[in-house]
Amino acid sequence: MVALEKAGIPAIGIAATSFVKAWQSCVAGWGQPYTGFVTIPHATTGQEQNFIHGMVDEQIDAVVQSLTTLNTVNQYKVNNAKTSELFTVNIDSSPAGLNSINSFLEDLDLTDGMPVIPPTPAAVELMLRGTKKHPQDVIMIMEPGFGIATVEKVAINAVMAGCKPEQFPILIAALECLAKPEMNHRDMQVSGHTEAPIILVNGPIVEKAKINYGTSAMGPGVVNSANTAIGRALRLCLINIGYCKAGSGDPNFIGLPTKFGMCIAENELGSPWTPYHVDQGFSPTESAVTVVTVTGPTDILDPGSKTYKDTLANIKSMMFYPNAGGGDWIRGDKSAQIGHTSNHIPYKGPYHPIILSPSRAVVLAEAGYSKQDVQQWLHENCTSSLESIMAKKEIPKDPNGNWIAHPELQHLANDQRASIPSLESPDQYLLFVTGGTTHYANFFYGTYGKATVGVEEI
Amino acid sequence: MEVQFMSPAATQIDFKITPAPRLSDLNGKTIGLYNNMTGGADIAVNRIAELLASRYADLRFVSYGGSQNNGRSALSRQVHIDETEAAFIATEVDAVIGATAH
Repeated sequence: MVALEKAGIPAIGIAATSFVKAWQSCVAGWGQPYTGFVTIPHATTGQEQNFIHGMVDEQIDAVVQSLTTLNTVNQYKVNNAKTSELFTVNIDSSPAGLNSINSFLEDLDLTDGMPVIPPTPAAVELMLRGTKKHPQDVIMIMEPGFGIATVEKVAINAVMAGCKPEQFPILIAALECLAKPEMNHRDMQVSGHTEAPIILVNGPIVEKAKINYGTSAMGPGVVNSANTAIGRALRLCLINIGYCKAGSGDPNFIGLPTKFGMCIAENELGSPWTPYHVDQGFSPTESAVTVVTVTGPTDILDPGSKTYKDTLANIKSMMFYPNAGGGDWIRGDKSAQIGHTSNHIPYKGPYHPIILSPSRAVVLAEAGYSKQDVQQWLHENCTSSLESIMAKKEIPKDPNGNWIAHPELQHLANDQRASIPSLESPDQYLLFVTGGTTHYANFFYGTYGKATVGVEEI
Repeated sequence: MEVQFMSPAATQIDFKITPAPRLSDLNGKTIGLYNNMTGGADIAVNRIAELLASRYADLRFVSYGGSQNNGRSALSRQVHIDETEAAFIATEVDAVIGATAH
C-alpha cells in the first residue's frame, strides 16, 4: 500500500483490531507511517459473508474519511537514537538490583521477555572472535523494520542469548540463510500465521559448538544449552534487528512457543542415510546450516507400527488435513519481493521437515528405502483433491482464462476424482534425523522457503 | 556497581515517502479494490464498493488481486504491489482500498 502512496494515489487498508500495530509498524518501516486504515473486530478468514459485511458496514464513514483526509499522526515511532547507545545501569545484590539490566531492556522492548546476559563491550568483543568477519560487515537488511544486521549487532544479540563464540558462525550462517531471497523472510516475520525459523546444522561444527543431537535434542536442559542459545539468538536478532516485536512487527494472532528459538543438529552417526547438507552438495567434512520456516512441531507417535509400511503410512496420515495447504503449488504464487524494489524472486516452498529419530530412519533403511525413496513415496502417496483445492480460492488465470502456473493441468478442472501431489516435488519432504533411538518423529508444516549455506571455518 | 552494555537494536534504513494527496471528494472517481487472495479479503473490499456505490452514483471500480490484469502480475499474498505495479495502478484509479484476511 505504501508503494501506491509513493505512486501518488491514496491507499487505505482494512485491518483487524489485533493487526493494527502490525499495520502501523509495517507502513512506518516502509517510510510512510501515515498510510490510512480502518479497523474491523476480527480477521475475515473463515468468516461467513454476512459477518464480514456487518464488520465492514460500520466502517464505511471511516473509509470515506481516510480517502479524503490525511492522517497526520504517526502512531508508531521508533527511537533510532538508542541503536548506537552504550547503556549504563546500576546493579546490586537486591532482587530488583539483580534484575535491573533486564528491566531496563524490557522497558525498551529489546528482549524476548526472558532474562538475558548483558552484552558488555568485553563480552561482545569476545563473541566477535568467533568470526573472521569485520564487525561492521552487513549480513542482511532485516524486515519489517529494515534493520541493518551488522556482525557487531548480531554479536550483541548472541551474547544476550547466551551463545559462545564457537557457536557464533552458526548464527551468522542462519542469518545468511534468511538473507537469501528464496527464504522470503519478510513474510515469515509479518504474517499473522504462526511460523518461525528452525535452524538445522550439519558437519563438524556440530561437535565444536556442542549442539546436542541425541536424546532430548529438541528439549530444554543443560545438555541443550547450545541448541537453546543459538535458536534464541536468532529470535533476538529478529526482534532487535528486524524490529519484529510481538504484537506489532510480529502479529502472530496466537503465537508459537517455538518462536523462542529452534536449533537442532543431525544425528549423523545414528542416521543410516547421507547427512542433509551432503544432499545439498556439501562434503561430509564441511559444515552447513539450513533454515526453514515452519509452524509448530507435531509428534508422530509410531508405537503400533510393525513394519516400514506401517511407519510410512503413519507419517503420511499426519501430513495433510483439509485446508492445510496441500496442492497450493498449483497456483504458482510463491514469490518474494526484494526490499523496497520491484524485483520478485520466484521460489519453491513450503518445505515440510520430518524430524525422524534414528530408529525410525533405520526401520526405513533396513527395508531398502533410501532417503530419496522415502521422499518419493510420500510425494506419490500424499495427494490432494483438485476439487477441494479449487473450492478454497481461485486459481489465477491469464487474460484468456488459462491457468497461469500450470495450464497443463487445467483439463482436470471438471474431473471430480482428480488429485495432485500435495507438494510440488519430493525434496519438499525434508527428512532430517536427530534425537535418541526411539519410535518417535516430529513433523513441522513448512510455510515459506528454505536455504542452506556453508559455515565459516574459524 | 555500574554496568555498561551495548544496544542490541539495529539502525534502520530511513525510507521517507511523501504521502499522496487525499481526494477532494469521491464524486466521479475510480477506486481500486485490492485483495491479496487471503480468506474473505475480497468480500470485504467488494462490500466497501457496494456501500460506496450506494452513496456516490458515478463511482467506478477496478479490482486487483487474483488473475492477471492486462498481462501484469497476478497479485496475491505472495506477490505484493511493488513500485512497478503501483505505477500502473496509479494510471488506472484515483485511490485504492485494500484488504488482507487480517
